This record gives sequence, C-alpha cells and structure tokens, in this order.
Amino acid sequence: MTEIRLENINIKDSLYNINLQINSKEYLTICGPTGAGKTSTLKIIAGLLKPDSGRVYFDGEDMTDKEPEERGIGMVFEHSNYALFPHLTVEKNVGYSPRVLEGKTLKESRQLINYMLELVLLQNRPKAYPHELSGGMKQRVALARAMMASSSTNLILLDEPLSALDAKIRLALRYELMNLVKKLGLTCIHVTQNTEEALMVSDRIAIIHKGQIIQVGTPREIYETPKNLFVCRFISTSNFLEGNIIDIVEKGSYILLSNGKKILVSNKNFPIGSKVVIAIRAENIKISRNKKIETQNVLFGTVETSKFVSGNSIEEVRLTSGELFTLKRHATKAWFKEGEEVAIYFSPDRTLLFPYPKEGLEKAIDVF
Amino acid sequence: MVDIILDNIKKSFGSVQAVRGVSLKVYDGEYLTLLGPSGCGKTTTLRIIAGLEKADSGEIYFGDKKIDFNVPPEERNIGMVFQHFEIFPFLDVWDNVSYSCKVRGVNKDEIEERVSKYIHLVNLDKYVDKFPFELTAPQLQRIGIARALATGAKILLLDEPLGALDQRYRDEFRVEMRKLVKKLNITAIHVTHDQDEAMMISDRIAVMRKGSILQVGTPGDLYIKPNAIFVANFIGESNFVEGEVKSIDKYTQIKLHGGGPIIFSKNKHFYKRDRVIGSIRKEFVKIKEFIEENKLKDNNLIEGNINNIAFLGSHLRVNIELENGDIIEAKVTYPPSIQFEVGSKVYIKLHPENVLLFPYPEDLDYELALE
Repeated sequence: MTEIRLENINIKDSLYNINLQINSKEYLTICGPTGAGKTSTLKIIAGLLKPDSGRVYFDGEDMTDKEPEERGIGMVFEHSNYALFPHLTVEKNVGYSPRVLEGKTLKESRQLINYMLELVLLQNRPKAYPHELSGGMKQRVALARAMMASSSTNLILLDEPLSALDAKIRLALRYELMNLVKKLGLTCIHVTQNTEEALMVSDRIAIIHKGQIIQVGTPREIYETPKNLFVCRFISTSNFLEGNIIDIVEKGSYILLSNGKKILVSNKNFPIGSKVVIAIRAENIKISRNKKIETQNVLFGTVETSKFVSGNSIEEVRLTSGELFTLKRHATKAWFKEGEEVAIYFSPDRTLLFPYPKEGLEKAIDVF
Repeated sequence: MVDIILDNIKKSFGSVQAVRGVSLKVYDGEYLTLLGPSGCGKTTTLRIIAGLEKADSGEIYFGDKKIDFNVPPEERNIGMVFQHFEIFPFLDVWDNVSYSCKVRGVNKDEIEERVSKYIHLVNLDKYVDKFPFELTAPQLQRIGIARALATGAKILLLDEPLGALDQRYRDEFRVEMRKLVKKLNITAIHVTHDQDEAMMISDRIAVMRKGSILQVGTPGDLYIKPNAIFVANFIGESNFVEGEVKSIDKYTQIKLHGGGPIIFSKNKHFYKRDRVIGSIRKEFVKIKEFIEENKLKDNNLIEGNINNIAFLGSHLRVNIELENGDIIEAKVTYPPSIQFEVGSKVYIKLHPENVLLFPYPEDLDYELALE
C-alpha cells in the first residue's frame, strides 16, 4: 500500500515544477510526446535520477535521498524480451533479485517464487526458458520479477512496456496487464507516448509536455475537457477553426470565421469579441454528398484521401477555405472517392472552445 | 511492365523453414503489403525479391524476365528502404542520396538532375548540406527513400520503413509514402506487422503466417471476408465463440457451448451438428436496452451483463458476459445512444450477416495465437 507524492521536482532544462500524487492501488499513466520528460519523472520515482530540487515521498516518508534498491520498487522496461535473462529459466528469472531472498531459507525462497508464479498463472512453467514462451507469458514473468522486488511497496513502474511488441499483440497484452495489476492490488505508474494505450489502461492520466505536467485526470476528463489545445490534439485527432465570438444566444455562441462563415458552439464562456479556436474531433464530424443539407455548421470541401482501416473510414477533406480536415467513422468500407465534393457538418455540442493561443495555433497544436 | 511474380518460393535456415512455398503476383504500379507477425517470413520473402537472400527453390519473374537467384541486388533495378535507415553518418544529405547512383556509374549531369528531383520530392530541399546527426528520424527516413528512388528503380522494397519512427510521425508518413509511390507510378512491396499501417497504405495486402501466405486481398476484402480464423483475428478485432449448428433455415442457428444462447449466421456452408467457431467484429456488436417484451418481439437478442467499460475517447469498449461465461466485447461509438454502466443487464444484437463461421479447427489455440 503505497501512495507516491512528487513535490516541486526540478531538473535543469528538463523538468519544471512537477507536482503529482499517485494514490495507493491506482493505475496512473504518464503520457506525452518523445522528450517530454516522462521517463525522467519515472526515474526520479525509482531513484535512478536525482532531482536538482524537490522531494519524493512514499506514504509520507521522504525518499528523495534513498538509493533505488532501498525503495522497494519493481520495474518493467521497454524491450521485446522485457530484459529477461535468456539463459535462465522462468523461476530463476523471477528469483533473480538477490536482496529479496536474502536471509530466507531455500524452502522459503521457493515458496515465494512459486507464489509469484501462481499469481501470474505460470505455476506450470517454472523450468521454461524465455524463448519458449509467448509474448504474454514473457510479460507475466517480467511482472512477477518486478513484484518480487516490490513486495514491500507493491509499487510497479512500467516504462513503455508494450512498445517493442507487434501491434496486434500489444493490444491483447494491454488488457492482460491492466487486469493483472488490478487483480494483484498493485500501485502502477506506466509511461507511454501511445494515447490509446493510456486511455485504455489508466485510472488517471498525467499529460506531460516540455517538462511540465499540463493536466491530470481520468481518461474521460482528459478527452472531454482538455485543458488546452495541446492536450486536445495530443489525445485524439482533432480539427481546428479560428474565429471571433460575435453573438451569444441561448443555444451557445456564434463564431465568425475569416471566410465569413458563422459557426454555432454550445460553449458560452467567452465574451463577445474574443478571438477563439474551435476544436472538432475527427469522430464528431459527419459527411454527406448532399450539399444542400439543412443542418447547423455545414462546411464544404473535396475528399483528398479516403481509406478504410480496421472498421473505420478515414477521410481527409480539403475545405474550400483551405484547411485539411480529418474525419473518422465506424464503417465497413471507404464510402467516398478521392476528388468527390462533399458537405461536412458537426453538432454545436460536440465542439471544444479555446482562447486563441499566444504562440499561434500552429505552435499550440504541434504535438511532435 | 514490371509485374513481380513469385512462384512457389521456399527458403530454410538450418532446420527452420522461413518461407514455405510462397506464390504471389504483384501488379505493375501496385502498392502491396506483406503483413504478418514476427517470424512469419515476410522479411525473408522481401529479401529474396531484393536478391539479399537466395531462395532454395521456386522462381521469380520481373515482368517476363526470370530473375536468376544469383543476380545481385544492384543488377535487379530495385530500390530498398530499411527500418533503421542505414544512412551514412559521415555524408551529408546530397551525398547520401547520390551514393547509389555513383556506385552504379550514372553520369554526372544525370546524377545532378535525379538527386535534386528526389530530394525535392521528399521535402528535403532545405537540408541538402546537413549531416545525419543534425536531422530527425523522419528526415533520415526521407533520405532513405530518396536514395532508393534515385537509382531510377521501378520497384521499391520497404522493410518496416516506419518501424523506427514515433507513432505520431508514422500516421503522416504512411499517407505521404503512398502518395509518393502513386505519383511516381512505381511498384511497391512493403513489409510490416502493423495491420493499421497495412490497411492505410496498401492496394492489396498479403497476410502471412509461419512462412505461408494465408490470404491476399484489398483491405476491405480481408476485413469483410477473412478466409481463416487467424486472418479474422489479425485484421481488425473480432470476438470468437464456440458452438454447434442446431438448424438451418433462413439462417444457420448456432447454439453456443456451455449452455449458451443461440446466434444466427447468414453463412450456410455447414451441416447440422457441425462444430463451428463464430467470429463477430467488435464494432458490429450492438447493445440494446433490457426490456423483457423486446425479447419476445425479436428472438435475435442475447442477454448479458456488462462487466467492464473502457473509455477510449472516440469509442467505448464494453465487455458483456453471456450466461455461459463467454465475454463479448463491443466497440460502441461515444456518446452511446442508450445508458448503461458496469453491472447493467443488457441485450446484444448480432446481425446474421456479421456472424462469420469457420469449421472448428484441430488446434483452436494455434488459430487464435497472434504469433
């Protein structure tokens, strides 16, 4: 049972004032683009990296100056073989961490290892070598080994644990990993740049960008109320329109785009005259061949690409005003042809509204 | 005319049969992807086409011309792009791209013209005199592509070309790659383990497993008409259920194992009492409100309890436990049209045309494995 607290953590040119609390038995994901500071944050928790300033607490106890091996943490790394020893059997891999078995009799050690293997459903394969196991089994061995090391804290740190795997296996193992962590009552901090993975496995997600935590929340909070344009674009493909608020009515706010078009959005939090950015998620835009369609918020354009990907139709539509919009829908084939002229439209309550960013729109949504 | 034809290609490494009789025709100007899990033989097949490996038996044709296995890569008129770029660190962009032309003895003016053309095509004009250490991973792969094209090759072979790029670059890059290949009207063979990448980029996909091709088709074909349990599992996401054919009239009725419910399928290629596997796409599972009289009106409703809901932004993944313990996962567009939560009793509805049937295999675990 361990609650982790990071207080005002700083590392020169890399992390800025990181404050983060991870509750006992919580599955928290630290998610952000490459170079955002995800792994550095994880290393500070593990004790593999010392902050220039700030403190790390485990259950209120200051751990900042403790060595990694004194912290009682288990780690799983990014590697197709999970950094398992290829020449050691499953039980030897799990029992490798010498400190854990220190002072225990051979019998006690065996019991502990067997117990861990039972937890991860590998009690029948103690003598197998890593190369004889499936991807899922290897992941479970790595997790059992990490749990051995973390038996005092039940805290597991996962650094891109699935990213070296085949796409399809990655998806299957996400579930397995999440269920296992929950079943075993572990506290888990998982680092990934894959937003879908983060949405799927986490109780809460911390979005980190350029060394700062931008937003912490449940998957739903992050998706539905992103704090800024970066979080909005990073968490899911979105389209953007710039404009000015010209009127506020009962149903929402009217926004005038530079091409003279008026858009209605439900949000009424900005005063008339504000320069704003409207964000519309790819999955919230509808498309039609009928260009006389009578509904709110209709824009026109030409289909540039139309693709069918695993149950989704994905179109890129070049608007007459120049923007390239991406649309995504559940479908059984690509319905629109490249070059077709179409109308696209969206509901006022499936939009997000942001103040126009100081750094300009382009920079604000640069998620790379 | 550069159709590529592989006829019964075999290749073993020691006791491991990497490629077990692969036959495939890739049409002129086509973008074809070899898709499969690690170790399925896709890269070996590509390397055999390239001349980097010699097949043990079989035949290769480029157009009408039979290619002897001893013809080295540089005489095959192909360009190759690799996962790890293989860019010379000590040469700038221009010299990297012009390298392959120089090796092939192309004359100086021609090199000048080609290299600037392809550097322009991959958007590296601003970086001609930059060295690799000054560039990002996607820029390095652009060099790889320009270098492969500058040979003048009409066939481009790509071995996991996006594998070393961050996920977010990949999405953009694959669209760009396809546009480039189509614009130049060349034939491309692309190797990947990523089904979304394959569907996004390809005219046709060849699904491989354990050294063999299981099915070749357009992305839509593979999705709608998979010919094997493995393909149904590997392309898109499906639920698999076990059952026995009970009766056949308008639809085939399948009684699910363990005292499960009856489901209907349009497939009529089975007989009464056949053991079958039903495959249902997760996005085709519809969740309906639980109201007793609905069941009387529509006998194609199956009772279940929701035992997990994952929120993925554009959609929800909802797990529904049936009375026999089977779990069916539904991908539901968000926001859903009806309210439900973990613990809710619901109906699921499966349209008969969306229930695909396969004969019960000898080894189900093997068919459902992803490796």
